Amino acid sequence: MPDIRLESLRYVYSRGTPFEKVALNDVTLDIPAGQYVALLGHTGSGKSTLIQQLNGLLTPTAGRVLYDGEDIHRSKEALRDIRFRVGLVFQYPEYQLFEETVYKDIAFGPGNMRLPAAEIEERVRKSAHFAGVDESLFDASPLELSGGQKRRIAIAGVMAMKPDVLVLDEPIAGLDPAGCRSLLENIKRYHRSTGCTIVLVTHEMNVAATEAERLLVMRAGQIALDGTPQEVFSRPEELRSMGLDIPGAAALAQALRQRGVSLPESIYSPKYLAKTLLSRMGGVSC
Amino acid sequence: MDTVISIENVSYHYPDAAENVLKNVSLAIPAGSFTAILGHNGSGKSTLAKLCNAILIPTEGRVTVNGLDTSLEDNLIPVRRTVGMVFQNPDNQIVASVVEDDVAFAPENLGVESAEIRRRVDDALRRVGMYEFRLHAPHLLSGGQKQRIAIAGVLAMQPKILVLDEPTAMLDPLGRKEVLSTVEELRAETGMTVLLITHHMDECIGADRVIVVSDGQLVMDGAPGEVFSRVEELRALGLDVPDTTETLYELRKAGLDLPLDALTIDACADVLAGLFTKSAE
Repeated sequence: MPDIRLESLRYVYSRGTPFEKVALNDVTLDIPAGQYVALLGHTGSGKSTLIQQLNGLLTPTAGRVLYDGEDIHRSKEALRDIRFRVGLVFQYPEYQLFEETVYKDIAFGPGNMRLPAAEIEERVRKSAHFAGVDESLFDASPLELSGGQKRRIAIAGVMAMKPDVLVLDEPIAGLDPAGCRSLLENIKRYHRSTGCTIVLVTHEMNVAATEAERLLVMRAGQIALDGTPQEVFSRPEELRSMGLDIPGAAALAQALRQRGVSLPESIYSPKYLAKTLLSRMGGVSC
Repeated sequence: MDTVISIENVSYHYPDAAENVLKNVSLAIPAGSFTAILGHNGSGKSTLAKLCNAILIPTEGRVTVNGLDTSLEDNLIPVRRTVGMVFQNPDNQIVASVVEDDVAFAPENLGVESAEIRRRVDDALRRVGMYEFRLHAPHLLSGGQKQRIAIAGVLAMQPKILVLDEPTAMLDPLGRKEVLSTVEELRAETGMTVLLITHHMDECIGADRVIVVSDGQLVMDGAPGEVFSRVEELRALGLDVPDTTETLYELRKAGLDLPLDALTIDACADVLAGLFTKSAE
């Protein structure tokens, strides 16, 4: 598993035209191997540009993208290698499906890696299982399935390449709460069992709070906040000024503090808030 | 209150589908009400929305809008003028390269005369807070701004009813707030009837009524406080509850006698803070 380092990374869209836009402005960032990172920020803050730098889809205007200290743009071969090691699941991955059957779609990535047939088959089965795709669907056309199923198939296709780094752009947008929960559980299971690095882009503060160990908040092409969920969500005013928010339970804890109930800063899930309140009450009544 | 949309024993069957996506559904929407519709993916809630403005016609049963049967060809235009729809993806709804042209698209198609179009477009853009952007290019706006333009486009038809199908699913928290507060203001100013389909439980808190659809049937129907109090049933249906309800629910499980229907952050904080003043006495 690679350690990723972005070094003074800059990216400018439509350079030299009236539409020139600085999407990444001197970003320096280390993501150690195996970390689960959530990437937050309002629309246009630079999240999508950043993740496209992670697998070399975009070439930096200035600065470098290093995997274990080596520049991914040093050669064509190096770049090809990175594309296989970094799995990128785009927003609305269901638009990426195109094969005749679900099986073929999941097998497409490992097929490109020129793996032996038996190895491909094993990977397809395993990643389908991980992403929650039932084997009974293998012969179905992916285009005729529901939105949630399509998304799982697209994710299985990326997982079948066994990426060292799995990058997901808003994978839960439009999923219902149960679908959302099961997808997040699958991602976490994959993370735990493989030790891979996860970068999850999301607009859902509750998800960022409960899934990731580290939050990166982007604003105007820079990393504005970087810390544990506890550190980042204890700065509600800053987050709101950036068009973001804090999880509902954190907002509730804040409202309770304003009403004179003393609570720690680290609350962002309803269960933990309830637990903390119970222990406080015990303390008061004894 | 008068019923503006009446859905009577409606079933709907997509061509080639194995079974009905809606199964004998009946529902009356009163004028001026704000109804939120929840349901898992594939539950039939979007189908329900599309039946309200004759994008779909019932396979069985009847849908009427202001008394007009949506299955009759002659009623198509008046029904579509009465019920405006906003969808999930703003990029699929914007057609023109200048904001005000986009908003003018529907009334132009309806043959409204040009001075009136000008008036309606300006009015609609002011209502959604996008008047200053009237000469901008829509594709350079944020998701929340684009979605407000889509709402303005619908308002320019002067509909009585606004149906929004997951309008915030693709938006960041600020965009989501912009869209929801725009809808709220519209309701306050115009008394418009609103149907909001969503996966975000907290967006239902301000509704008069929450309807839960599961496997093509209406399984819950009540005030937000009533519906969200049924925590276990909602979870069994693949749904969830707002963080406020979940906190209260966890405390109830631990034996505290608390109401589950304090849904807003402030109402819930008042209830919880009350525990401490009581136990301190």
